Amino acid sequence: MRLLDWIDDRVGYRRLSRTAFEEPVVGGARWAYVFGSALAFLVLVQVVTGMVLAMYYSPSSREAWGSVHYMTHEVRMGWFVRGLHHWAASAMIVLLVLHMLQVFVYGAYRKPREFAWWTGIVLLLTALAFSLTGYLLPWDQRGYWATRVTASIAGTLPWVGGSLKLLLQGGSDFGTLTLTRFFAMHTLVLPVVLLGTLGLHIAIFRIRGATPHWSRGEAGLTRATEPFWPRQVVYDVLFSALVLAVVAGLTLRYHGAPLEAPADPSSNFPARPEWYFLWMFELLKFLPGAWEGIGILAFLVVCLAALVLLPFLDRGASSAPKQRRVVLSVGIAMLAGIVLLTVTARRDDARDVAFLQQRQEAEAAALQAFSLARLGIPPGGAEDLYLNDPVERGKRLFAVQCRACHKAQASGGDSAPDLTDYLSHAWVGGLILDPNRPAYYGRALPATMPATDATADEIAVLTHYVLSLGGVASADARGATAFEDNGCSGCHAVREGESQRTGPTLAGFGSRAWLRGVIMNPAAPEYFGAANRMPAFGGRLSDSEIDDLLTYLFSTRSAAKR
Amino acid sequence: MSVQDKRGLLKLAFGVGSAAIATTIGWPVIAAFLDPLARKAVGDARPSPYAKLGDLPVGAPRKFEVVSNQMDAWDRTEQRAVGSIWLVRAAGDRVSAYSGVCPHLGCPIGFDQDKRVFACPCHDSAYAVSDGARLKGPAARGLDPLPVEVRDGTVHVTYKKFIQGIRERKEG
Repeated sequence: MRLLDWIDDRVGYRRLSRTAFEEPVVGGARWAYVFGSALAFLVLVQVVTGMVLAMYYSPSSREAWGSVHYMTHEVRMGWFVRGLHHWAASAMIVLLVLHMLQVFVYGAYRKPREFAWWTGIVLLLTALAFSLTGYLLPWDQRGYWATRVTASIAGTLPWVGGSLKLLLQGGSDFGTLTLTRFFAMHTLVLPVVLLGTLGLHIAIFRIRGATPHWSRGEAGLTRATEPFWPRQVVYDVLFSALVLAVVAGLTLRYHGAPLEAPADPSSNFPARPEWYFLWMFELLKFLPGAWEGIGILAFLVVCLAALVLLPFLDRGASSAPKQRRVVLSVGIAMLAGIVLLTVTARRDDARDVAFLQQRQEAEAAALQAFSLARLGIPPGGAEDLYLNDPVERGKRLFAVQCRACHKAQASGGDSAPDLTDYLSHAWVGGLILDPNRPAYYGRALPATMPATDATADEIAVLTHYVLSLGGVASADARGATAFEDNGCSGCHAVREGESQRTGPTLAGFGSRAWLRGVIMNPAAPEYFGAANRMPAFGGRLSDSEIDDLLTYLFSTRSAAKR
Repeated sequence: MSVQDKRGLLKLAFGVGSAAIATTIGWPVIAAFLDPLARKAVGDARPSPYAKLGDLPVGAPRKFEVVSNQMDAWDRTEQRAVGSIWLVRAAGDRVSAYSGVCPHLGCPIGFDQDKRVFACPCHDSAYAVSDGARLKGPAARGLDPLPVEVRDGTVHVTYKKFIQGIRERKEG
């Protein structure tokens, strides 16, 4: 203990801890007082977890998503730290409401505690600003679209709207400057505001102390008064532990915090704000377009003014709820309204088939992004993740090179065959039945090959046979006979090196090699010869591009039905 | 229950509550902070071609950039300079390759034309051209040799990274 004495002689820490722990709690320790301490505790949780997250985060539109994906899926326990940070933010909003409710019901904002109340309002707004800035940082679909909506609302305000929007997004459009700005706000500016205001809030609170229950008399309060330590400290610690247990439980239950696919400005994403802003989102549905910004602003200003002026509006002699009926009912009605709007927003979404469908697509997109991200984020950033996927690359190529003439998956031109389900059993069966329909070669080639009058069963056998030539189906002895009987062999060769006929060779039909040959030079004598009208892509596309195109085309081919 | 007992119980509750809080937050936070300890630097898995044997002058070291595809955290880098190597062709066709990283504290090794030694610009370590052995300075070992293969007249080298500042030559 001599070392501690030596330190105490110099810095006087014991006096400090005495002030902190022996502060008298008028009327004794109460569970009703735990909310403020638990909030201070959550601030500490956010500071500690936030520091670790910042070690793995990169605020740039190319990098942000990859860094969050990395901290979530690669860093040991990173998902848990991020989960704690996410759920603690939600818990903080819940506790803020409970804390304010307790203060409200006890009349603790009344004279002489007005400044504790006002600093509390600043803390509430700071917490909401933290949430707004933090939501965007992962640069995923959810944060991107929700924040764009917020910026757009700000932009509709008269006079200042345009400038406000530019200031919010840090540049003429949403991008890296928005992220660096939000990141600096979230990790530098707001923490300073929060810690400063919180210090002030607690200091002011300490001067006037807690507000005891209205029913307790002066004498009883004095008799029950006890120091902060141990009972109130233990209540605070146990409640904080309970809050943390809930936060950790939610983290385990949802395996961390949500992460959607990378922000994609061209996509169709059902944007929703974080749950505690849902009531405002719902409110927007009732406001006509031009009035959105001003409506929300006016509403918020009225709410805020009511909160700030509350100590002046409620000046009766007694703090007993019976004497404060009007104030209490207005306050409870507003809270009920917020709850109602939140519940309505949730219920509407749960019933909205289109929304649920888009949610499902978003979840599938997120899973695909995760699997592609394992190969690393490409130099172009997370938006280019699809470049990791040959199917996606092929799809892009198809859109640029082929879509003008060919249709695939319901979009594209119709002057050449529809390549949806291309070279599948169904597609080939349809081809044999009548190649001169517009969906096949009707508009692309002269009607050299006739429609067949073969039975459905025969067509199935033929389909199976020609696809077996490319190894797509297993060989079938009846096939070769049917091929001869129907006169196919008159025009089509079936083996490599067989003498050239008038129709395209079916050697390797349906295989990658066969299709590669067609794409490279469709006018070659073994394919469509002089009748061909499709350009040769052999010189236009590289081998690996043709590979991607083949992978995409074959990815649309459905499995064989026997 | 006596006042003493009550106080003891409160202190116990305080201890258990605080310990639970400290563990729930401390453990994941420390684990995530210490995550880099589980990660190792990686060199190239396969040899890459650097020069034609005929283009290397005998006895005069040549420096080459190591260009490779590597992961930088979550980023896949493509064909980016990740380091440098020195190639020395001795009389005959024997070629040696050394990592361009000083084994002392990791500064980039240069070649001193006048003294005809490999020289570190930071702390004046010098290494022999003939075998990379340490000639002077604070380095604990000589230059780090890299596996070399000459195939069809082309020099192939496998780039590796080594731990600096120790006597032993250890990859990492």
